[in-house]
Amino acid sequence: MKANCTWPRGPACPELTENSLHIWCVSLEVDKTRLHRLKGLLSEDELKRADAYHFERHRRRYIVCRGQLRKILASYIECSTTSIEFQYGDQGKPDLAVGQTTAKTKFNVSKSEELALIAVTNAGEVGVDVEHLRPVPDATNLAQRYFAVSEVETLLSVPNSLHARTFLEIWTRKEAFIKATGQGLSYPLNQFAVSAAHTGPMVTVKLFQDSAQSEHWHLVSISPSKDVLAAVAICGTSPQITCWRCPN
Amino acid sequence: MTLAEIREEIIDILHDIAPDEDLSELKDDVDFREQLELDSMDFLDIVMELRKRHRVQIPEEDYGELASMHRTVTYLEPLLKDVARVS
Repeated sequence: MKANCTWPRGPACPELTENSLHIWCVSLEVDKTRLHRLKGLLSEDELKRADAYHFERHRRRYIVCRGQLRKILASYIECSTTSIEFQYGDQGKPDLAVGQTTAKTKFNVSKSEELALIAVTNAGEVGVDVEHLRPVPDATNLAQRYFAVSEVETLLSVPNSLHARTFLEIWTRKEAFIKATGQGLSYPLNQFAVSAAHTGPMVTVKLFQDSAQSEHWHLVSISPSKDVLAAVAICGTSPQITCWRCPN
Repeated sequence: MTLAEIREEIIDILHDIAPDEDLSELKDDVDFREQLELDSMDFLDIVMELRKRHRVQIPEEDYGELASMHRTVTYLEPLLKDVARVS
């Protein structure tokens, strides 16, 4: 599926203020020359990871996404693309290695088909998720098993024509949140609830085990094109969000 | 189910998730996510399918045990040892 991002082309030298959150939309479809150039930016570990992919298109998407991530991060932290080093949390969340930047620059990446979103901020821990709008045959079962009660009620209340969209809207919000926490699926999905889609792009999150923490979280729904749903979650100050298309 | 049967069952579930893919050369000791573009929803689909087919309940804290084929088969073996595979 092609990425038809409607966001404006991003600047070559973006600047992060204290509460800004930049979302970059990256097309993973590139020609061979471009692919070769981006592959040249990857570390030994990343090349090994690319080789492990079973299918060629997955390998290409990984290489393009990782190469573009390096280029985008380098434009913020003023170092060369190849000298960027990553470290990983217990559940695999990537971060800039200690010493890579004096600022608290955080990032997160999500891919869906031929599109990736890269979130970059100094405002706090960040998570992003993107999903192409598509049928989700098992949506009700998945929701009843994993979602919070209020989210299941929301899903069951919408007409069939909006079922997949509503499920994916809730899903992207929940996935962005668990990615931001760094805990991934080890954070039980029924231990927090996100607000319903019809309340607008600004989303509230209610943490059942630690309700006082809820107010520190900011979730926003975003859409790079009409058939793509996405959400970004950040823990910290309320962010000022800017969305850009990454030049190919 | 034997270890080989559990492996076949997992391949079968992966085929349901990615019906057009040839999974014959999947490496057992490499994480699924490093070989396939499986995301969190696909992963929950695997857990749900195991529950649907064999009534196996996998708690969230054990999800890491399903990272690769080898780890998945090893984790499921004691849970499925008295279950017959239905083909």
